[in-house]
Amino acid sequence: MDLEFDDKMPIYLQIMDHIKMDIATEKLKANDKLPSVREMATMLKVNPNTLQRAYQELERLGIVYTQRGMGTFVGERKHMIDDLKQEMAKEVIDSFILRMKRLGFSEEEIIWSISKNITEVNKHV
Amino acid sequence: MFHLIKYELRGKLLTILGICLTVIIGNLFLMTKVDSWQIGAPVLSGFLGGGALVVICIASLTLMSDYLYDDQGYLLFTLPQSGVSIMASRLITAVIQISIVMTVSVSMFCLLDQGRLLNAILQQVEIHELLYFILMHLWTVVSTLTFMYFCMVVGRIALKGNKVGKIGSFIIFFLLSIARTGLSVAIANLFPQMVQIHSVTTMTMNVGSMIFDIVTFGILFMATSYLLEHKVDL
Amino acid sequence: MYNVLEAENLCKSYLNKRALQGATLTIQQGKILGLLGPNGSGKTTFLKIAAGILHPSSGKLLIDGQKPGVYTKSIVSYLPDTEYLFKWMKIKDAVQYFKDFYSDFDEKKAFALLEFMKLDANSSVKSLSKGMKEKLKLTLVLSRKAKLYILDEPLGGVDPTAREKILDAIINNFSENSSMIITTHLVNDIERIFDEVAFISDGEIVLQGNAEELRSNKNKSIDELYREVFQ
Repeated sequence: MDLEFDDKMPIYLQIMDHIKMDIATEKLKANDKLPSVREMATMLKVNPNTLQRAYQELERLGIVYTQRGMGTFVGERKHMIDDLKQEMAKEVIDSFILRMKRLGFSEEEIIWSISKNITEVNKHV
Repeated sequence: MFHLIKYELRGKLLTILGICLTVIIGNLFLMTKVDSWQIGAPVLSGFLGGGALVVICIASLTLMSDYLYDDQGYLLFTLPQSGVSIMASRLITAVIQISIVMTVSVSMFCLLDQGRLLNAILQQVEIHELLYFILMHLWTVVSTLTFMYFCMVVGRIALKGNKVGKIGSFIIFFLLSIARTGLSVAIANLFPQMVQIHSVTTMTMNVGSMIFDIVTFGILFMATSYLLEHKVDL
Repeated sequence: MYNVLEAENLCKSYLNKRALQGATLTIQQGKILGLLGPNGSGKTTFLKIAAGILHPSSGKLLIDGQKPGVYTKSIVSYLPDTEYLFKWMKIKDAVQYFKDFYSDFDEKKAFALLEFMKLDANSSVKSLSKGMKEKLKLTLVLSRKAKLYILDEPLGGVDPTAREKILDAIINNFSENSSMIITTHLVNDIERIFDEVAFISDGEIVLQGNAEELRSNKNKSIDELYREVFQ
């Protein structure tokens, strides 16, 4: 796993986001085993306690579950993927709208610029 | 403590071997000249032995100074070892390496003069006197080194700068030596009781200064151990 | 959570300067603390006191509830910033030395780490480059099962590839039963392995806190914070 960190933000949040992303895009599927805390820590060159915290938070949110002595696994809750997608999309859109507003765009202008640009972005993807 | 001695001896291995080899080769050379140089050969052999002894004694001082002034101190003083075992290991190592050099020098000398001097000595004195003599020498080595180690450590603690500390140690050594000798003489005068070591010969010693020596050794040993454990700053 | 190390008002003065002026710091079990400050800020002085080779002028420092001494030396594994191994030693002699003196030394782990670091047990200490010496020292120090590891500038003077190996070794060999203090002025390379950071300036701890909280409260990386404090 390759992950570029932004050291300005808490590392455990970034790790959580990364795992959520992998689940949402189905790189990780229900009941897949996540690497152990130590494996991940070595891979990412991050303090094991930070990973521990990321896993714990994910577990608290019901996204992963642990089995004693076995490891941590991706949860199999219904609609989880959709929920995660919705949640992450909301984050992206919220921050986009916020930044557009800071630039002085009105709501109509924001919608207009999205519809104008979406075709162009489509060409690149 | 056994390990401390082991590693000190290992560290000084080259020095000890070097000195012993020099003495052996020097004596072998002298043996080829015994006929032409007559008395000169054993005299030179004696000097060689004396020189070797001086060198190994100086090397024994570095058993302490290396750790006080060099980075190796970080290795020794972070070990979970008490000051007493550090101090004792230094003294035992010194005694062992000095004994090795002494034994080699004396054996080579005896070989060179074909045991003549040894025979002469053995006819004059008895074995237990010889033993006492050897023990006295070891005692001198141990008490002198303790005294010098003490001065080094005090110098290191009192004067932190590298060179100043070494000179300081020497000054402390000089002053304390005078004080110690003065005290020893004064005690010998106050308590003139003597013991005779041997019934026939006149080997005697003063009881007062003997006790004084033993007590000062004990105090200096404990003080140095304490300072090593609690006061030396690297 | 119990504190492996507690320092309170720790002072150390020399004839002409004061290296520590009332440093107060605690480290909990299972945490990695970064002690950050420029040269001459008192980092090394603090670590040397904890390692038991320097004695404070006033204040107190306790490790596992004890003053530095024979006991604390048996549970503290200290990586000094000096070349302290004997010149006559081969690498395997150095391993044997640690095995002889520290009952918590794990020889198997040491040889595994040597292999990981690509060090040959038969080469002599004298012949090693600066980076290799640093790797060897770290191998010895991490092969102990200590309660507290004290690493003074483990990345100092080491090239980036060696740096990565050293970081890996630290992360791999850290256990939750032990704690670690690491000093550095190369904050950027290593900030992600700290639980806690403490900034030290002129012999005083000017800021101590949880690394993640500092990031989210100040919206800055630890490296940026460091630059801000010591610009």
